[in-house]
Amino acid sequence: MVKKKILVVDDERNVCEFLEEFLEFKEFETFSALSGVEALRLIREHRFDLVLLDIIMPGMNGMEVLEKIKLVQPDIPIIVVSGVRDRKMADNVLRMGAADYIPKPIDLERLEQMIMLNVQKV
Amino acid sequence: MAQTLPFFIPFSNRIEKLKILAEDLANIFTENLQRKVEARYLSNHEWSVINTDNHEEAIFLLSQVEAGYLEAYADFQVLFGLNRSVEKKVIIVEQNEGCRNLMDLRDCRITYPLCNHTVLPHPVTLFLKNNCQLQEKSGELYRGIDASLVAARAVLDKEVDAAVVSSVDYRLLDHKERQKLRILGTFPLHDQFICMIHKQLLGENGTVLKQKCRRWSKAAEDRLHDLALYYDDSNVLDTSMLREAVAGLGHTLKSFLKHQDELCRQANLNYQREQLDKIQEKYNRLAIFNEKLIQMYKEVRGSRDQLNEIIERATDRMILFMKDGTVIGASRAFSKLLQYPRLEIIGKPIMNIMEAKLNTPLDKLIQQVDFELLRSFYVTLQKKDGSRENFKMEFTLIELSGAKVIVGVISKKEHL
Repeated sequence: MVKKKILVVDDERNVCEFLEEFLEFKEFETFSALSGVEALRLIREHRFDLVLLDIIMPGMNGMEVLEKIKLVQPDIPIIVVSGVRDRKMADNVLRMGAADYIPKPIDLERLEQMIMLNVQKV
Repeated sequence: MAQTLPFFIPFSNRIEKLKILAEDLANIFTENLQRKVEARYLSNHEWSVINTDNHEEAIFLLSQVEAGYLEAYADFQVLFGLNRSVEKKVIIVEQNEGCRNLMDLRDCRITYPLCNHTVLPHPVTLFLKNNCQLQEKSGELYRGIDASLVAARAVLDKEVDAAVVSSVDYRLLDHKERQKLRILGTFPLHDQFICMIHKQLLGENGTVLKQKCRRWSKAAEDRLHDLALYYDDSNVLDTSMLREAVAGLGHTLKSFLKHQDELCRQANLNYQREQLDKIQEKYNRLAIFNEKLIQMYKEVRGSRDQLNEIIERATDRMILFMKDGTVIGASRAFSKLLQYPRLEIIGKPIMNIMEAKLNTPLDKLIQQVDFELLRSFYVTLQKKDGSRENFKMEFTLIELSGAKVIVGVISKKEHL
């Protein structure tokens, strides 16, 4: 069976490494990008089934990356991961086309459920 | 045949090597005075002048005070001096202040770095110690920077009324700074040995003997260096400030010589008493601080006990641990679930009873909880009977007595 591909975008290497490890355990093929620019390059090179995207990043922030990914691959589900617990921001990213929003600290069970749900849709 | 002349050498206990030089000098004197001269060595606290009845019939190597006394009251002449340093101590005051002599410094604030570092203080030092508010602080505060220079600048900044500095440091001050200061007087930086002889005994040999001594000093230069002594036969004896200090201490030069040991002992004792008072004060402050610390510790222990009680009584299945995994508390409900008595869990690593249901080891997951990335994940708990069960555990970070503590609460059981 072909593994589903997930891209993790977060400026913190520790977060990328942990989520990659978790997703590989759950039998996904994972890639990670430490910046928006790197994420967009990978999006152009691969066909991903899902993107986990951090909002607060230096340089290009998560909102901009979300907007640009949607231009390149409008149908790709993007789950926004953020340390900011702000209802308004969650609404914003959902309006901009994000598939879901999960706050940090992460409930791994909930994250897994969200991923499974969105990956199946693809 | 004329009687042998004694040549008195002080501090022979302290400076053994001085004896070799004394023998040399005794030979030179014998040659030039047509009298047999013999070196006599005195111990550290014997004063040759006051202990000798017939002053005129002796040659002396003396302290500045003794030399001052002989110069003032007997017809003695200086042959040469052996100084420990070419430097002097300089008392400086501000140019515009009204101080003209040592007496004007009574009750004044004076900075005098390292003033307590001499066992046998000079009378000027004794006068300042007894009559002024002496601050030794600069020496301690500005270690590494030149304390003397700092002391001199304290006068310019009007922090003190006067300062005792070394002549070298005084010269290191800017020309403009020096213009604002006035030298009240100088006195030797270290002990000084002055060689004196009665004028009658010297007769007409004065100039020749001085020349011979100077020649000897050139030949003995290395040995003098070895003893850190500098030969000096020009203006060796400057007693103006010495006499003022001795008078200020309520003595004549003779009575000062008689009581010098006692005066020095008293001054050192006063200093030690002051130091002891300071230590006592510090100790008292420390004792108060210690009491406060004990009180705080009791309070912390009280709140910890209270918290432990709350945790223990909690109906939630709850465990508390540090980020290194050491368990610091658990609710009764938690220990009941695991069938372990609470005391068997506390203080042990959480890894003994719990593992993650992920490929990431538990200690790494705890790290992610500490970084506030993770809130919950599934864990496998090992019961005392060896059976294992999976639960979802929710984690929260709290601060307890200034340390980060992780609280884990079992939220649900995994049903397979």
